Amino acid sequence: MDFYSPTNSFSNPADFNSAIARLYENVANIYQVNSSVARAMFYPTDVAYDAIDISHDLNAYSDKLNSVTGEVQNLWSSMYEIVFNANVIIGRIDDENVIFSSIQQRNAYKAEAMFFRAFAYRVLGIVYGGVPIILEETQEPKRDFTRASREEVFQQCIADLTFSSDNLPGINEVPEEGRLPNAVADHLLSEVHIILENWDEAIAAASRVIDNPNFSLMTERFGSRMDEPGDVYWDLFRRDNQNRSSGNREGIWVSQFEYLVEGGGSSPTWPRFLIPLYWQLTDTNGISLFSGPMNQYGGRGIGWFAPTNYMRETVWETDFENDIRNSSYNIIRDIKATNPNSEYFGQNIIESGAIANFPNTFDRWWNLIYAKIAPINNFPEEFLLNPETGLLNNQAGGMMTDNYIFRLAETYLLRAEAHLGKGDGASAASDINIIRERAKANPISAVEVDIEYILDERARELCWEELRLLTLMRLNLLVDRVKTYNTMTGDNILDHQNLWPIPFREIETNTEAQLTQNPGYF
Amino acid sequence: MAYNLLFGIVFQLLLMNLLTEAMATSHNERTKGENELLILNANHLLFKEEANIHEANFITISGTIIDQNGQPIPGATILVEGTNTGTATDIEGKFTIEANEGNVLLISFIGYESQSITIGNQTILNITLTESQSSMEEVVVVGYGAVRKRDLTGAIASVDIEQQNELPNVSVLQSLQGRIPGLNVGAITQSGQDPRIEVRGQNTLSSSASDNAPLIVLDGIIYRGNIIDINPSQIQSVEVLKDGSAAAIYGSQAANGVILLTSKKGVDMGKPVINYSGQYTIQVPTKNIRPRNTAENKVFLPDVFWEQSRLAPDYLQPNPDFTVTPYLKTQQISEGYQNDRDNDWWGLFTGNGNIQTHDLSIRGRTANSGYYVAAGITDQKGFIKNDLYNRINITANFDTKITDWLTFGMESFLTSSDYSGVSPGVGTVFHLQPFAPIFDSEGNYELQPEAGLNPFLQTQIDDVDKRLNLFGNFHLDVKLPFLSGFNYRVNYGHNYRNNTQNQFNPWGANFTGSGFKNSSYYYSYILDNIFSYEKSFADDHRVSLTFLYGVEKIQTSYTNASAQNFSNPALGFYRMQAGDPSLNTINSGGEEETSLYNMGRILYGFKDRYLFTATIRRDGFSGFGINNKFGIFPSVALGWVLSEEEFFNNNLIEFLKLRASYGQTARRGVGRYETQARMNAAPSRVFGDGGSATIGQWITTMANANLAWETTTGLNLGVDFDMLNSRLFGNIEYYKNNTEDILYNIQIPEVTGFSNIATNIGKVYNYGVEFSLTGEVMKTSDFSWQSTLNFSRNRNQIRSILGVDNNNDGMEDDIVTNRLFIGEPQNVIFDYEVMGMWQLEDEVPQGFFPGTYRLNDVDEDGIISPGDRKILGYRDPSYRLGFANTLRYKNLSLYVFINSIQGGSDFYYGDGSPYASGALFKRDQLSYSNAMPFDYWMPENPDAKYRRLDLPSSFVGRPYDQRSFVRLQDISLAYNFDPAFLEKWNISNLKVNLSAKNLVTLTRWEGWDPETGIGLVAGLPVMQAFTLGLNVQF
Repeated sequence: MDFYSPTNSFSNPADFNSAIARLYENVANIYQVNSSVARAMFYPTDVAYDAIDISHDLNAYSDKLNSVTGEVQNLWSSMYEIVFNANVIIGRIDDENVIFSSIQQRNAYKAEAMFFRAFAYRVLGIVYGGVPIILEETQEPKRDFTRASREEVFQQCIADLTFSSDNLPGINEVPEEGRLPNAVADHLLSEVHIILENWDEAIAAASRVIDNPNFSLMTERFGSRMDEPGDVYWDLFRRDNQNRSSGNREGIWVSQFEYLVEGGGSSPTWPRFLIPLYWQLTDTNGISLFSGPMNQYGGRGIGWFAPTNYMRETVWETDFENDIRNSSYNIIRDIKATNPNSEYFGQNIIESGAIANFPNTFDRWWNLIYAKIAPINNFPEEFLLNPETGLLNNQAGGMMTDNYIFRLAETYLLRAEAHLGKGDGASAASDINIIRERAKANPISAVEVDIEYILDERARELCWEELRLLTLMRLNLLVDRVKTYNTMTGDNILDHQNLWPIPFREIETNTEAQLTQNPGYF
Repeated sequence: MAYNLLFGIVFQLLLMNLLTEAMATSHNERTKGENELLILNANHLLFKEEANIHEANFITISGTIIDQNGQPIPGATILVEGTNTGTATDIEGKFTIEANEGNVLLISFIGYESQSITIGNQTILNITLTESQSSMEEVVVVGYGAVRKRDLTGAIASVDIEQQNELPNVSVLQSLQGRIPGLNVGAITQSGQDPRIEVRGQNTLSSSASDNAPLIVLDGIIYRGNIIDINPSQIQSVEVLKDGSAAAIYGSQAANGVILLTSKKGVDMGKPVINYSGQYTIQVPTKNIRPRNTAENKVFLPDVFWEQSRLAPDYLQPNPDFTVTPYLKTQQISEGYQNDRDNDWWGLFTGNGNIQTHDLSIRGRTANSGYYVAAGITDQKGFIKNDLYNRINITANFDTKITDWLTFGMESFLTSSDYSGVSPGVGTVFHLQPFAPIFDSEGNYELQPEAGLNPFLQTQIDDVDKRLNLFGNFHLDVKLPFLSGFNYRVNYGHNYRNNTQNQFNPWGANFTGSGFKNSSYYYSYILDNIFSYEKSFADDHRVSLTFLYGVEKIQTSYTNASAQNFSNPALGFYRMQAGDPSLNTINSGGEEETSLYNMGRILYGFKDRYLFTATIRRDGFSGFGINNKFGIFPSVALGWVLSEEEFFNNNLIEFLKLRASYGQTARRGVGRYETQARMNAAPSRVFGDGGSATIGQWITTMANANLAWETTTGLNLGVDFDMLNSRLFGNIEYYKNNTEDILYNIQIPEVTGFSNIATNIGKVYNYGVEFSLTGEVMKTSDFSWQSTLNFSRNRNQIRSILGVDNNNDGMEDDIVTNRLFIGEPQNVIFDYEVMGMWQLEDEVPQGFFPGTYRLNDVDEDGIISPGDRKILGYRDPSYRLGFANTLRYKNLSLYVFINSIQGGSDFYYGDGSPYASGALFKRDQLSYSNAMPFDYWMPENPDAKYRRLDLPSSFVGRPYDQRSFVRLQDISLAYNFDPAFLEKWNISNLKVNLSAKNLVTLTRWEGWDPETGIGLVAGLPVMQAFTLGLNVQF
């Protein structure tokens, strides 16, 4: 009496709309860094490591990442949950008893579901290689799954995404903000074609987004806090500035968050995980430098993970002063002590030498603060213990804002990658320079462009947005880049670890057929 | 409202009847005896001849019935054999009866040997009854009827519940702990809690308490509420139907056995008898594992960071540059650490508890009616602060004979219980570091000393948690004057339960205030039509038939409302609209289920020597899949009373009976809607800014239309014996239960979109031996000593799971993910075997570190992988023992009960490690929490029991410990005052007692308690109880 049954719950468009809403929620979960799976999308990579300890969580990659690791199972399960939920919609939507207002409406819903299925298979294909391809709602227990090839998985993505591209509405026609326009399908299609080295198709798909006049990179100040000191890159990440209603023309797919509304979701807790434990720092006399977590420093960070030196310094070397993505608004490299009891009160803690002898192990207590992941000076009042000093309570760990899943800047970088793959360095450079121009960084020449450079540019532009692990894995560069740039994990990753293992539980329960394990794992 | 009404009716009925009685003429005795017999042996199936009464030639006989100590026995029954004439003794043991010369008087009283006396010319009879040891003549409730114990063919155990009233057992189940072989009752650690119960091992593949719980029947009606709602002092008797044949009358609900509870009824003791009993109990923890204080932490915390706090390579010298304070969670904690702040959080929130009970009852019987009215109050305070329980219970049982052929009876109770108050989380209090501050700089409570809300504030959360349970069973018995031996009973039972929990937390929802009001109700009714017929013919043949047709319906409903961000918190949950309306949530739901059943039973006895019982039940349940709505469950049982045979000439053995039974029972085990695919729906996303949520919906379970009950087919062989003039008696049982089509959530590849699905699979065998042996060790007029030894041993074996052999090794495949192995018991410990520790100087393989466990490479392939796990032991016990002793010296009696569960070499293992709860298993958790002392690896402690503190290896492994124990569970010393001494105060009985529970426990288990299996984690102890009790009767 208190539950819905599938037999009567897919009978009208509103039912399908509800089922699709759940898919958005499913995807949001893998961007929620509270979960260990989401964190694993960012470290250990070239951009971040776990700052708690050498052997904490996945830092000790070779020791920790195996077929019984929780992250390995959980990512797999959540992707197949998306596949199942999408298959339910796709399988039931063509039922003639379901009345849609038009064939377009039916196809638009179907295209939305197919996009999510492709999204899941793209993650599965990148992380695990060839996986079982399931295209229908499973209605009875089955244990006879076998792996398709990696190529087949991505071909399936292309098939679904092509339908989505053709049938999803344009950005101005989406029913609600945050819903998928056809550009999202094209963006992802471009990436999948790159994986299969279909360079022309990849360029064509990306161009459909880039050439769409409704999308453009933001070059002028805009949005909720445009009158405060800052720059346009800073504006892109302020609260309420992601949806098109704010004037933003750059977001292609924005995962929605609404503060204090049932169903509004929880915004990713990036501040908690990435902002250092600065508020526990003590000065040279052992006196606390801060009265606690501060609004002006982005919240209550616990320094769970820290950017690598590559991310902090190396990527900025050529344009340290002029690249606005490295401006003092966007990357805060020194902060003022706020505890009046400290003799360093009001002084910059690095400049003054206040933490010179603090044991800042693994740079957990201090590295730098990324403004793009934190509501600097903008926490809702409930979090403020003291509005005057900016002292926050212990809950102040969320971004409190919508977050980008795909942003136009990435589409340019995808097209640059396709051009490069095709051997057209000039076009690649010109795409990259569009990004760099907006960032007020110096342009680069065609000969400077290689895949390493594109990865550097992605780090500068898309850090903490792109699922970095997927980017490196799809390029088969995870192991190389970790060895080169991650001092914490570098000598602890094994050559076969560009792929994750198939979860042991899946092999064990799949009793009627063999799911072969990836090489190097057991 | 509903219960007010009902109680109005109950008391009116009572009152009306008393008035009617008073006005009625007193000499309409023709069939009085039959009525009383009926009521004394509720639902009886005794074989009786139609009375052949000659109203002339009566002589009036009067007399007194006393026990061996010269005490009068009130309520003893005197029957004229072969007639319906009978009476009962009054409070002074006196009686008067009319009978013919040559008639035989049958004198009986529960717990005493019956006597038969042929009437000569005497008119005064003084009879001494001796306490019955074998109690073979006792009438035992068997479900939809009752039989003499000597006629039983199934494995049915009953227990003397009276004795247990001296002990502070808040739930009647605690009184059964260890006392019936085959009935396993667990230990409890919290107030107002029912222990886990289980009969004869685990038939099903799930070890959850509810999946293994026996069916509870109260006064003939299936009772699905909490047993703790039933006041133990109002229970007259408890019977346990252990085997398939006895339980088969309850069909698809009886595979876990059946417990029959019978409440006290009105008895004739000459006048209304008022009884008061009161107890005061102090509860003391049997063990208190304390977390470390500050000084101990100053040694321990650097050990957590041993790689930094000490110098390589041998890590024996401290690193002078190391300080632990940056690793502590907050500045206040760091400051406290430096300033040696030492708050005893655990001590502040835990301590001794107490239990108080008061029970008052009035019972009596007049010519046509009997009543039992009782009220009780129980107040319990547990180990952790705010672990409170209060129960108020009122019982009204009543029966009356309306006409010669029509009898009405009812049993009812109302229990209101109060669980209000928020206990701080045991984990929170245990893990708070002693240097975490209680107060902030202004002297107010620190809101969050570490991460969670300050326990001092947690206990101040306004919480009301009240539960109401209203139970009523109403029955009419109809006898047809022209068809003797026939009885039709209609039973209408209903149960209404209402739970309310209201809570307001001023610090909730990020300190903006949060509150909820949750309310739920359960309503059920049962309507049973029971037709029975009894007949004896040709002296030697006795037949009894029972036919049942019944229906049960259950409805549940709940409404939960919550609010947060209160603009004005002053009124708390009484004004939820003070919360931010956009954050309000409402959840509601309800369920319904229906059962329909018929049952037939035949009992046949020949010469009291050969006994035969057969039953068949047909059960329909709405929760089963559409393809399997109805099931049929038969049983058959035979008894042979060898001692009645002429060839049986044994002076040592007075009674010897062999029994064999075979029957089928089942377990429903499916939720009401489990066979259907189900969906969930909840707000998923708010698209755009400033809008409201789109509701998301998704499928949560796969459908399975074939889902049905699981079936248990059981064989039981038993011997009952009584020897050496009833100085030694007991029984031995052997059983073998074969369970098939087990309802199980089997894990499937998540590629399907699901992690598991409920399926009927597999075969499990349970077999075992039980015996109960009672001996009169010593018996003189002043002193007696009786001992009972119980033993039970159960073995369990999985015979089949999915029935497939995919790996083609000729044996059916195990399902390792679910820890199911063909040929092995359930509840295995399947893990890596710990062989020792990796040490600093070792060359440690991939995935391992010095100070982590060295695991056994079972498959000898040079690497540790999941294939190296193996069965290390079993979680279930090997055998259980209970040893009860009752010693009496004049007016003094002493009861001692020892309970023991043993594991032998391979059984009764558990995980007692500090990592069992998931806490404390890695460095950051340890540096943010307090821990108890335990033996962990350090460079200077290479042979520790537990691994290094800061991290495990990736394939973990852990040591397991055995839980075997011997416990002095109950001890009670009671003194009965002399009636002569009491007479001047008009007191008929006065008893005081001093009792203790759980006085001594012998075990090697390191954790809180072996029986609860809680190891070295933040946990709760089993409580020791010291009780002073008083019982007075007027």
